[in-house]
Amino acid sequence: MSRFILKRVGFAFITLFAVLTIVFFIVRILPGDPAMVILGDQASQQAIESLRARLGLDVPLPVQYVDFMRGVFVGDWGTSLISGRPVITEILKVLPATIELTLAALVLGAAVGIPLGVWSAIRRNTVPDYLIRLASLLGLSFPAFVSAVLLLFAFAIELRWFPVISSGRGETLGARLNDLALPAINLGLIMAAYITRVSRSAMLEVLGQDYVRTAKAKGIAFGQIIRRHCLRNTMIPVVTVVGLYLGILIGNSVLTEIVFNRPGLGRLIVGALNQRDYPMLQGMMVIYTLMVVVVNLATDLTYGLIDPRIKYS
Amino acid sequence: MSTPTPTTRPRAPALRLALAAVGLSTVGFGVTSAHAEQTTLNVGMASADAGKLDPHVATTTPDKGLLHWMFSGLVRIQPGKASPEFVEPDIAESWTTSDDGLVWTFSLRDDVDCHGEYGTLDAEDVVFSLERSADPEISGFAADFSAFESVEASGEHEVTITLSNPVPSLLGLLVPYHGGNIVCRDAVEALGEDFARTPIGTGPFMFEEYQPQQYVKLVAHEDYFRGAPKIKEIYYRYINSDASRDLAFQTGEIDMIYGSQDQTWVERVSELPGTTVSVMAPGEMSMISLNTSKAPLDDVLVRRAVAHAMDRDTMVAFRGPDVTLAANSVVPEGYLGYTDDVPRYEFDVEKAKALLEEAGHPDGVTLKAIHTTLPDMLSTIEAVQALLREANINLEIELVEHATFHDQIREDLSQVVHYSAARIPVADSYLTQFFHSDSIVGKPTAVTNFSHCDVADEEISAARVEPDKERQLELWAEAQRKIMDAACAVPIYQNLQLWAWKDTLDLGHEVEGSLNLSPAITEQSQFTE
Repeated sequence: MSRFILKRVGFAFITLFAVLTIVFFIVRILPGDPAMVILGDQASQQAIESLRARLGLDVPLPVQYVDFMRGVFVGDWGTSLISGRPVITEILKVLPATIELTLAALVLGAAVGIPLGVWSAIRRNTVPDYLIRLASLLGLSFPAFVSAVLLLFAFAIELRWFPVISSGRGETLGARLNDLALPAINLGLIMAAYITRVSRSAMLEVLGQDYVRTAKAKGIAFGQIIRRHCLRNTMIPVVTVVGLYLGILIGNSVLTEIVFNRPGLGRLIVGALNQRDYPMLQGMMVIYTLMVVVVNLATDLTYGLIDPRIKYS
Repeated sequence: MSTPTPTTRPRAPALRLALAAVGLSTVGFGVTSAHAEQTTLNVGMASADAGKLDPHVATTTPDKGLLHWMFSGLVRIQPGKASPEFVEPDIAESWTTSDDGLVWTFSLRDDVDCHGEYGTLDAEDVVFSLERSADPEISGFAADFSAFESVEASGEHEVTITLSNPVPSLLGLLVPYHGGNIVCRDAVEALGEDFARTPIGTGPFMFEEYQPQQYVKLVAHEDYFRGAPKIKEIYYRYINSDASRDLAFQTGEIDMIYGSQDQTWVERVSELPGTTVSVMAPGEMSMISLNTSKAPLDDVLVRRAVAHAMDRDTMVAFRGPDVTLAANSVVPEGYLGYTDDVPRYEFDVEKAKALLEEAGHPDGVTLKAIHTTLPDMLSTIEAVQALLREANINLEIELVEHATFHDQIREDLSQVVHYSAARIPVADSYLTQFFHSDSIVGKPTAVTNFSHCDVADEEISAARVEPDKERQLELWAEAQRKIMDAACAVPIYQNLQLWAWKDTLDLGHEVEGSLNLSPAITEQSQFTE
């Protein structure tokens, strides 16, 4: 087990190294100049060149690359070219808000999606199944920013239950949950749509297995068959999908954060990309890569918990 | 010798129409209130986050809008106005100039306090501040101060500026807009790099707190020299999504919002009960620069054909008559030095075709424009493309992301450049940056001359140092005539700044415009409920 984890961590380092290298060069190949973004469009070419020099952007690329890599591993991720604040501080200030939102969406998605998927499979080709399938299809095809605005209309404008501006930093638990509710529902529903579909098809597959038929033949109650024999086996593909869809969740969280005006990595990365803030983009990539690597590792380890037959070597 | 006398001037007719059309009220005039209930102002700005909040570096609309309420200058433009014609004393009580316009002596107030614990402002602070603005290593506006030979403290509360040559509208440079923002020396030195995150000035509101991607909180500067502000707190909230900003305004979570430059926005928000919508100058002018150095646009006949194919009335109707003014000259209307006495190219498709035929292009021409994907600008160029097609001018649009667009047009890769900009409202700024040969893209001194236009260099340069105001205006007018005659660029329209706020907010002045692009919130501003 520990050898497995070590091996995976080793691979994670290689992945991180490759991603950072690619990001480093891609952001610099892109046309667009942070010096111009900072100085504005009235700045003369001379002023822009002078600022580029001060920002260290005129240093040869290989030198910048070595500096950057050294920085990443010693924890010095540089300062934002635009705001002048340290990249790591900027990221750490908003990271908890993103993690909070993603986890809440994940929990909500699983809490809604798994029971619905299982129920839909059990009631295959009946009205509830059709309705659930239709609803999950809607959830998949609805852009996050549209559903976000609809939620705002319903719950913030008409009912006035929640604020439009979600600060993401309420002081009490109640205030935090109040801020988190609409964004988490928005993302959670999308996640639930994915999970419902996967749970349904996984459950259908399990229900067709010989051991389920045998259990039925033995006269075991159907509810017990589902709980004891089917659910665990259904979970393996669900966990895989949850891990994979985390990337999609992060993508949708960008739009959700913007519409709900919630702080988070999504808003940070969009700003950094528009402004060609190289150190910030690089820092964000480190974080995103780490998140994906960690989630993948967690997914793999979860298999073992769900199914004891899976051994790590 | 001159002394400042604030003057008034009737609003430009077209602007007045635009303002009337959206029912601009004279905000709170005559409203008296014995007791102001609300003292916290929530403002919604279209931005993901704050940028550098150093007033000598900040250039974006969101950053300038915020700094507007925090800084003073030696002089300022009357709150509610945008033109340097309305200059009035700020930190300087009075000033004199030498006959040749080269030596300016400013007498400062002695009761100007810096925010926080940084003491009283004196002449040394002003000298430090102006020298900082002129330092290209620090300031983004150093070029504006290139004619400053020296800035000296000639007394504890007196500053003397000596120029190497007269500067058009020197006072315009000293308003708290770009380099004219006065900073406190002790604060800049004590805070170092942190100054860009915790700016310290002498204006009515001072920095209190910054929450990333959320807001900057300002609090009243109780020792402000014009008196303690009635509003005690301002939350300047960064809400990038237009829809969310509007919804938050609708629910009352914010009291004042930055609008989208869009007719439907004005119509929608005007209908909200208890709302004041303001259409403010200066506008951003949309203009099509035609690259005169490359065929077929090196032929003036082809450029004039493009000008004749542009239907300004259609473009104004397209963008929305309440938020747009037709642009007639290559300098935006309302700028000091603007004239509409320039060669006009009336909309005439047949004439455009005839000109193309005369130029040897009977089957029309194809032009290439590299263009940004920013939605507002994109819809404009698509409308222009449709108009030009009528005259057999095929405009091929190559779309690139915004930062790439700025990069590529400066590499001279686009024959036609659609640009939208606002500048300090003096003709020199637009003429120098867009039409003086020193500013041609690709040169070390390049700014934004995409057309390679050089027909009015003489007038632009001469006007810059002309001490006689009448003669200066004539030189600027002549420059505009020459540039329009050569059809270096085709002006399309001006997009005005849009804001809305609750009727219960009394800004304390009539709002026609704001150089800093946000309505002035002064010590007089208050809520009436």
